[in-house]
Amino acid sequence: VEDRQDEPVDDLLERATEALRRAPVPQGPSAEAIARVMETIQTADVVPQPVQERVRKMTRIVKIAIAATILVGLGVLASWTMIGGGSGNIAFAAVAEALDQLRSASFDINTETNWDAGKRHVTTSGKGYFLAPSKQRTEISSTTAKNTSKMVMIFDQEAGKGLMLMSDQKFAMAMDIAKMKENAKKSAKGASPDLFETVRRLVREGSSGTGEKAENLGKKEIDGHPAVGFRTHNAMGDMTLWADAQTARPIRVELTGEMFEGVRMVMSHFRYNLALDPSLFSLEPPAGYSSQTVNFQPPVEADLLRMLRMVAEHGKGMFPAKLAMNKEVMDAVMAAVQPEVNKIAAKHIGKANLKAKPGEQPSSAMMADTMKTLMPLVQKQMGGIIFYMQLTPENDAHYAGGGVKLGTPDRPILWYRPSGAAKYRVVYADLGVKEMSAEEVKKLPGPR
Amino acid sequence: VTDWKIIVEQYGGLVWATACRLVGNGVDASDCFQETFLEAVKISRKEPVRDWSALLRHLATARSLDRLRARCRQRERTPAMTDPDAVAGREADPADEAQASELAERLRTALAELPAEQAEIFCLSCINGLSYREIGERLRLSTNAVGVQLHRARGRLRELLATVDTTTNED
Repeated sequence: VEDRQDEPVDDLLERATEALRRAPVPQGPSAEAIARVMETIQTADVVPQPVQERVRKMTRIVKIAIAATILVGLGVLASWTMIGGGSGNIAFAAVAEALDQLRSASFDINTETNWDAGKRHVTTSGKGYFLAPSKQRTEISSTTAKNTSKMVMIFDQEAGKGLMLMSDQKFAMAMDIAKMKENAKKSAKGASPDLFETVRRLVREGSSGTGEKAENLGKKEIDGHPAVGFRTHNAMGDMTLWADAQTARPIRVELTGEMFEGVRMVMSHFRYNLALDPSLFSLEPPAGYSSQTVNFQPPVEADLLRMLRMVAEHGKGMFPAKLAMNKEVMDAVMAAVQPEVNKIAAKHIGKANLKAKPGEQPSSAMMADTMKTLMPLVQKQMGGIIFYMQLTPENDAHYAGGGVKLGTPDRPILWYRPSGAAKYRVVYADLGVKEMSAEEVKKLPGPR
Repeated sequence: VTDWKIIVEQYGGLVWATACRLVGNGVDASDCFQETFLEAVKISRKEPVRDWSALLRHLATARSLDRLRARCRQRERTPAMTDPDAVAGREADPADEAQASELAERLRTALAELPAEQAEIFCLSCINGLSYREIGERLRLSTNAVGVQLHRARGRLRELLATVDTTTNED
């Protein structure tokens, strides 16, 4: 039944609709566009990826980014370093070779995070610098409707150290990531906190055939250069990479979220083999900065169980439809840490909490106090989702808790096989854990 | 085996026009054009396509709405720029044309605020003229569900257009 007749006449909407319907269409598509589409169709290597092969992994920097997000309202820019995928074609191999030969690079970064249908909107923009073999500096400016924050993150992978600088508060957080680095090495697809290194790794994996299939997007002009495009996909999201058709160096990289819902990052305006000042990558806090050292510990299964309980209790007793770094998880974490945030805020600025005065920057002393108190708490609360996202295809992880009530007896909600183990660990809705053989696991209900 | 040359020749104009109307400029339309056919390739490898016209119109609309949403987010944080590749105007009264162009752009902005499914149903029904049944088949919804979503879309669009209108008047 077509019910358009019963709609009240609305002049403005009708006029706007009519205007759009009658909007002039320029001549096209051009012969070039058609040729490009035909080439893309012919070269497309599109293979659907089974869910069980999708990679679930997470980088150590997510913790830092999440902590930063919670404490100063920044986006999840750094968390994007774990995007995976690849392809097995020759052109992609050329990109890998070009990246491996680089001595240094700089690029622009723009990120936007949209949650609650755009009601919670955070944008970040910044510059990234890479110095071979493993140093990275990222300068971020983050803007919400209420606030703007600036932050610098420096990592030296080989040294297992990082430094986060907040210039507004004159605060430095020194990060010991050595244990996380050891943990990452255990995984064949060990995540890196370095954005540029991650792109290099993805391309390297893809071109060597060890990564997942990628689509060939054909050719396109980017910033005046003929470019060749590739798109990779896994459980974390999509990466679209456009490389210079002549040099095979990336011109534009776009990352969009799946497990990081509502997040989109674009890397562009790449410059290569610049003479970069080594002091840009210094891990010493600048003079005049107060500092706090934080040790990062790899998450364990107990963190996963704690997180599942926390998210379910925050969701009125129901487990979430999807286990991802999304609004449900972040809201639950925020609620869990809020009492401590309030205590610190009350101590430093009276009754108002940290979010109560938009635009006001916390003092250096408050930042140090906040970091000291909250970092262990945030790590504890976030450990579970990070543990889950670090699971690889080898771990054969499945989540089936959507719509299940916390405490439901005999209802499996999540199972995975620990690395090197013969049996699976099966988590039930009452958060009890049992071990099962692969044969037994096959009979479990729920999506795979 | 699908003869893509014939498909592109036969439906290229349809995809182009659908994208152009929605995104309002040739550059974005060109990208949508490519993405639409690329996605059609994927779908055709999974299942037989019975109605290319409906499929391509659906895909072109969805990709164009993606562009609109991305553009609106971009616009929120960067100053408006004149698009040199914006669609050329028709030969008409300049004032009428400017008003129509502005109305169309306001609707594009409002569409970007709608939930994806509602926006698509509105476009397929009200811009492309597909029936509820055709939309339902494409989106795997009942005709009633299509009607409900369309009703909601119209309601929300009215609100959004009215908000913009009020803001404009206040300015």
